[in-house]
Amino acid sequence: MSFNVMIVDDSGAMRAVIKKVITISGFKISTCLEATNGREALEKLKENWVDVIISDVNMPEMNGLELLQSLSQDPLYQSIPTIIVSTEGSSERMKEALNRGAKGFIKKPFQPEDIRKVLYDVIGVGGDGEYQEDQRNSDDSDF
Amino acid sequence: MNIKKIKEILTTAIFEVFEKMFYVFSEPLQSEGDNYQMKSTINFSGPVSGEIHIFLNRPIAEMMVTNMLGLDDSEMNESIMADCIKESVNMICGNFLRKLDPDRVFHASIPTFEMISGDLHRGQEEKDQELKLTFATDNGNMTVVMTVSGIS
Repeated sequence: MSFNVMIVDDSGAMRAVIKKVITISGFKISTCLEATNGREALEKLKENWVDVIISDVNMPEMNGLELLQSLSQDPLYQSIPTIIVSTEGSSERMKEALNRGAKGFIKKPFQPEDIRKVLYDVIGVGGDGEYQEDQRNSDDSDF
Repeated sequence: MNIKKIKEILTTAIFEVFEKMFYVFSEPLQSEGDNYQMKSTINFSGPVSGEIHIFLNRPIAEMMVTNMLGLDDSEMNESIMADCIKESVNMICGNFLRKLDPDRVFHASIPTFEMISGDLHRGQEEKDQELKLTFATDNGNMTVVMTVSGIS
C-alpha cells in the first residue's frame, strides 16, 4: 500500500533526508509534498490530501506546535496523523505535542530506524517486511 | 553544575549529531582551530540561556552534504551546505539542552549562517562562561563555541 506524505521543515536538507529514509525503509510513497513552515503546509492541504504529516517544530511563520493546533481544530484535517521530528525533546515539549494531537515524536539527531519505527506505529502499513515481523510488538517509542 | 560537566555534555552532543546525521567522526583537539570560512549560530533561552556557534571550512561542509544527502560534486552548492550546517548547530543545541535538563522547555532561535573571513574566530581568548571546543575530522578541523548564562 502506498501513501501520501507531507514533510514540513524549513531545512531543505532535512526534508530530503526524511524523504530518503522513508523510501529506503520500504514505505511506498505515492506523493511527497513539502512545506517550509506550518502556514505553507496548511495552504498545500487545501488542494491535496495526505495520509501522514511529518513536521519539525522550530520553523519561521508558523511552527510545528501551531500547525498541530490548527490541524486539530479543523474537522477536515484532525484525522491526519502527524509525527513531530524535532531537536526539542524535553518531556514537557513532548507532552505539549501530544496534547495538541501529535501521534509520534522523533528526536533529532535520529537514525533511520527511529523514523521507520514511529512511522510504522503511526500508519500501520508499509516498511520492510522484516521490520514488521520482528518489531511490531516491541514498542519503545516515545509515545 | 560545573564547567567540566557542561563541556562533557556539549562534547557528547556534538559527537552524536555528527556521527548519527552526517557520518562524520571527529576527535577533540587542543589547538585553536583554523581560519574558518563558514559560521552558523543559534541562540537559546529558558532555564539557562546562551548561544552556540559552529565554525568550519568547505571540505567538512561538502562531506556533511555528501554523507547526509548522498549528493555528488555536481549537485553541491553553497545553499545546501548552509542548510546542513544550520541543521547541525540546531541539532547540537537541542541535543545539548535535552541532556542538560530533559524535563524543562527551552526555546531556540532559527539558526543563521554566514560566510566569514577566518580571523573573526581565531585568536580570541576563551571568555568567562564560554566554551570553545575544537575537533579534528578527516576533512579538517571545526570549532564549536558556546556562551551560556544562568547555570548554577
